[in-house]
Amino acid sequence: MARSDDLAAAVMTLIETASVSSPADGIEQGFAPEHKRIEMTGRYVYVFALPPTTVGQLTRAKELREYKVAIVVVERYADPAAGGEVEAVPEDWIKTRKTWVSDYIFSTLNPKSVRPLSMWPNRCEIVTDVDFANIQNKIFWSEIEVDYREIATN
Amino acid sequence: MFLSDGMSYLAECRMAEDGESVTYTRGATSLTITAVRGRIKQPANLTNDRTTVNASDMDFLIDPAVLAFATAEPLKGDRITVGSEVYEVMPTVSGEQCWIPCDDYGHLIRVHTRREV
Repeated sequence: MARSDDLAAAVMTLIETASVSSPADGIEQGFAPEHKRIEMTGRYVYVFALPPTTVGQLTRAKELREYKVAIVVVERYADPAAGGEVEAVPEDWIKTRKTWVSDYIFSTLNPKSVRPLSMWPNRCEIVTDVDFANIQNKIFWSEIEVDYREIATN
Repeated sequence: MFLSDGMSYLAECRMAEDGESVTYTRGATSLTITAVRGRIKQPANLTNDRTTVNASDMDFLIDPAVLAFATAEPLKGDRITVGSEVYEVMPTVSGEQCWIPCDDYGHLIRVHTRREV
């Protein structure tokens, strides 16, 4: 398996371990996940491995390499609206999901001391906190990106 | 008003021929009305090119006069139940509210919904 996929698997294990007290309903490495909207129940987490890049050459034999991992959290709000409501999805429901993402993904992956495959996180960012278009569609969607770096041999 | 009368007649004929009984719900109030199933779509909502969520959208054609609510037009969050299927009124068409008139005189309106159950 490619090193980027190994990293995604390690990140997935970190999230699973951290969220054991409040686990997601599904967590897997994503390549092209697809859902039927009305059958979506629960919270799904997908971990995507993105292509690595070379940040710079350190010596003739070694380079600083960066691996990117994206994590997507998706959950449908399944309770039907009461009708005539401006806000179909309650604010508290959204806030609970945001907190989960912050507590179990961002806080787990952000510390520099957490080093999957001996790589360190150079950047950890909640790229999409709450996706507006999707929340209109009654789907919570959040995306986190982490850039991991390592010194690699050419 | 000749054209309006003609459109009204056509709307009545369409309801009589193709209409089916559905339950229109807003809050605690439910009405049994006649509606015609309109356009069906199965859009795939791509989200940042990473995951795909496939929805089931349906338009219902109804006579707005039958919506006996304080606000006599469809509102986001209203529900239309057909058998075991529940559709929620929402703006599913880009650039449109959750309903549009079907003709220049508004004898029928097209209500955009998305299947929830």
